[in-house]
Amino acid sequence: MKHFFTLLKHELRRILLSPTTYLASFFFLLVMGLIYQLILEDYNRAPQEMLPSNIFLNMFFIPVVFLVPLLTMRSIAEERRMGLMDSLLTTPINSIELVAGKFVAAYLLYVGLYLLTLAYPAITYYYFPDERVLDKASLIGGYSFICGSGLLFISIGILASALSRSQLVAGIFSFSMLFGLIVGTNALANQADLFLNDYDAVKVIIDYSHVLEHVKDFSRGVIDTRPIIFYLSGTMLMLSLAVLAVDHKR
Amino acid sequence: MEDSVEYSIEVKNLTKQYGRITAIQDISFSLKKGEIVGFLGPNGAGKSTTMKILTGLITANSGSAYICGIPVATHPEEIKRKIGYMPENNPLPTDMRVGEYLKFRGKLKEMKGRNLRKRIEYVLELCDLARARKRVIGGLSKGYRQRIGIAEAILSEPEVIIMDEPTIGLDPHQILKIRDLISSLKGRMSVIISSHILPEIELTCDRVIIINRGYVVASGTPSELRQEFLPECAYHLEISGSSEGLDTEIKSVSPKLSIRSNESFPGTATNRVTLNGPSNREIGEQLITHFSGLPNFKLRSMHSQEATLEDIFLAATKRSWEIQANDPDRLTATPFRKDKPQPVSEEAE
Repeated sequence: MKHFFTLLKHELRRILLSPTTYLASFFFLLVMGLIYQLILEDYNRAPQEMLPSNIFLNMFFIPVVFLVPLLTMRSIAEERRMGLMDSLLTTPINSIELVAGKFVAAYLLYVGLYLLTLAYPAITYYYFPDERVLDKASLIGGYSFICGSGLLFISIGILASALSRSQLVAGIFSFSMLFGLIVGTNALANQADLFLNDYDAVKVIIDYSHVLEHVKDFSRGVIDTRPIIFYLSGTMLMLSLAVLAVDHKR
Repeated sequence: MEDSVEYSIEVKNLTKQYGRITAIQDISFSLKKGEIVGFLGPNGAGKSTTMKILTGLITANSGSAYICGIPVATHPEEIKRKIGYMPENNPLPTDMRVGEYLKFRGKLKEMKGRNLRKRIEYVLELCDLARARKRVIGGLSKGYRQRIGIAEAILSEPEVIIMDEPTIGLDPHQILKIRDLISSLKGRMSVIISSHILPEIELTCDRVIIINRGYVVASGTPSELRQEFLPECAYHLEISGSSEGLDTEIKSVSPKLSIRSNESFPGTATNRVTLNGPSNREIGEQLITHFSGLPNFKLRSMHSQEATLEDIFLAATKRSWEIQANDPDRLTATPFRKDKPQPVSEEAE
């Protein structure tokens, strides 16, 4: 991994110097801020069962399905379309370093953006100093979920980008895969609850990959190792496939 | 180990197929150390495919390629440390500055610290880019971009430089500079250049390889190729006098001479005659001596013209097409013989 840091630095520099990053961040924070504000308004109207940060983290998937494709669709597809991939691969780097560099850069941006949303509970706490606004267990659990699941989501985006020359196709592909993974597993889990018993192999698999259930656990402060294994192994699989795609599609 | 290797590039019976289309078929050639070789061929002849195989970007279906004695297919990482590659169309990141880009590429090529800084300064100066160092690549003209591509290819002082159409889109001044630049690499690095600008190749390259439809159709120095494909030479004469009897006079100088064209200007009794004939200096002398002794013809001017690389290129590719048309199943490219010298006139048209 001799060239990994050179590539990572290059990618990060590119991200930080690109105006689109700031534009995307602005709109992301705007939408997330709006969601947080709507949650607080609900509290204003009637008492709620869950903590505001709890509900907020449960809504994470709405921006994810849009944000992840936008962050990753450009990475490999654009380089390939412009022919930069060929010239990169004639230097002594290998495709693992290339994919890893792109992945880590996009992941850091993703995590960075989510960490910025910590400002909402912090600002709320500043005006309403109530312990429950900054509930440590739910925030630590929730944000570790964001960091863990982000690995898989970003790797899905990177794979989609490695499979296509067109940014648009890569974007739609990663949107569909993320939608399937988050919303699809939820729908399947609901169906499985009705028709299958708890020990059925299919139900075990569906429950294992039920992202919305994971976020509920984590944002309650329950850190379970099974989803962590799921996200880590899924990430490795997606990145390996992306490396194969880069090697194969020259 | 490397010193004992005679060839910088060695290609043996390379074949590459894209589905049912054969891009290159049984190509073999080699480059000695420090040699500059031009790689010519019409569009779709397989030049870029061969170059991509040499850089390890794609793999061949059969055959073998060696860079400095190292097989490309089995040691792609090692050969990447020995080559500088400028791809076709020279893709560059439009959002980087020239200096930053070279620094990034230098780091990827495992150059460090002072050596990298020194080399960047050197290539910026060599390619006349020093003033554009801080400019964003996206805002630069084609000429600048081509020079950035060349600067990048020679940055790490590789043993082998592979350039796919480096002079495309440049103006004559820039072509001149690039030509000098490439010539300055002679003896230090082995360079293989594909190009369509044939006079450039003739001036800079030690040797020329012409491929067509995936076969090597000619290989050698420009003068060797001239001997093989177009051993004839054109003589341009301006003769005053009536055109009658001119043919017999010319034939009497040498029976090998034939008139390709004769332009007479009415009223002035001037003929502009173009002859085809064997390429040797004696013919010129004989023509001058013969015409100076004739009372009714006056030789006003004469110059001889050897076949250009363009003529050779056209002749070589045309001949390979003819052979292929006669024998569509032909799969191997055997060297062409001097059996059928072609008149210059047909090729030049």
